[in-house]
Amino acid sequence: MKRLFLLMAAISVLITGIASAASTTCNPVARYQTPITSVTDTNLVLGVARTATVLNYNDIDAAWSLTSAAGIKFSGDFSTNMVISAPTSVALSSGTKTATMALVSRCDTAGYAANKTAGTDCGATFATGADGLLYLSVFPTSILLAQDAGATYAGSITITIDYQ
Amino acid sequence: MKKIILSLALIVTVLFPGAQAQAATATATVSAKVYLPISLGVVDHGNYVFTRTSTNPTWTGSTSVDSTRTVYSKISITGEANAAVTVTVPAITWQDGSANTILSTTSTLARCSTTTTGTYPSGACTSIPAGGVTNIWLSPVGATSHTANVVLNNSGTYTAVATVQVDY
Repeated sequence: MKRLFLLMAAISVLITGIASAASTTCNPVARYQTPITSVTDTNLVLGVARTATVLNYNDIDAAWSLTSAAGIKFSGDFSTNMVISAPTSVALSSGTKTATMALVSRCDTAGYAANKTAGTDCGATFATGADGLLYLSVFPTSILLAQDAGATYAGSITITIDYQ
Repeated sequence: MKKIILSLALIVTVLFPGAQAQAATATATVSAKVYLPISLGVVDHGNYVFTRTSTNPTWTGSTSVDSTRTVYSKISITGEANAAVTVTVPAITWQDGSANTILSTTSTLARCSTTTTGTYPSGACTSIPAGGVTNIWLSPVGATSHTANVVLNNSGTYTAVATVQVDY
């Protein structure tokens, strides 16, 4: 009987120890937040009427014709700071031809920015609106061709967003 | 005993991974059409002869354009060398020269060649060749038969305007 009591006491200590260790490790679980979802409403489509031997074009050039900026809508917790990671450039290609496009991202809670100066610079963090929405627009600001040749250059960009 | 406790604690951690899964990623495609501007120019205004085959006021003339043309309509394309293009041509509406009355409509066949002389070319208009210049040849004919069926109410000279569109 004495041995049985000792064994029960040992199990009791073990259970206490388990509970204590588990409680300490699991503290981050207290962070309950709405999963963030995203929808890509528009993709970036640019047209450039190039000039032979000219490799670099900017958004102020007459040859520049932006059809649509990239538009991505995120949904998460209401009025909550988000950490945004958006590229500032993208590598494009068409077969063996390549080009590099510079990008700028603009954020807004009301809707997509109409141009590269509308909305607000997304910065390191940006808060969702009262409805939990965040609209991110990506505008091209320049394109540099690697060769003196026209083509339909293509690529993709990935934006990551997370709670601060 | 301490080892047992730590191991069990690790299991609990795996079961509740925390909030890092909240992060979301989104992907957008980026495309840039960078080309030399396309310029179009008229090389030749076509002159097509339809042979009248009936004396009826409303009659149908059926003719092979290849054998009755005097000049084809030709439009030059100057643009990006080795670039794929889409050429869109409308049906041709023939009108009386004085009253602009629509008399007949024929489909249009377009073929492309770097030359502007010789017989009607066989090459489709799908790209601009290495030299950066090609020519569209237009015929008021069916897409496959090279035959145009026109309905005209009298002999005479008829005119038509064809607007051609070329896109990369």
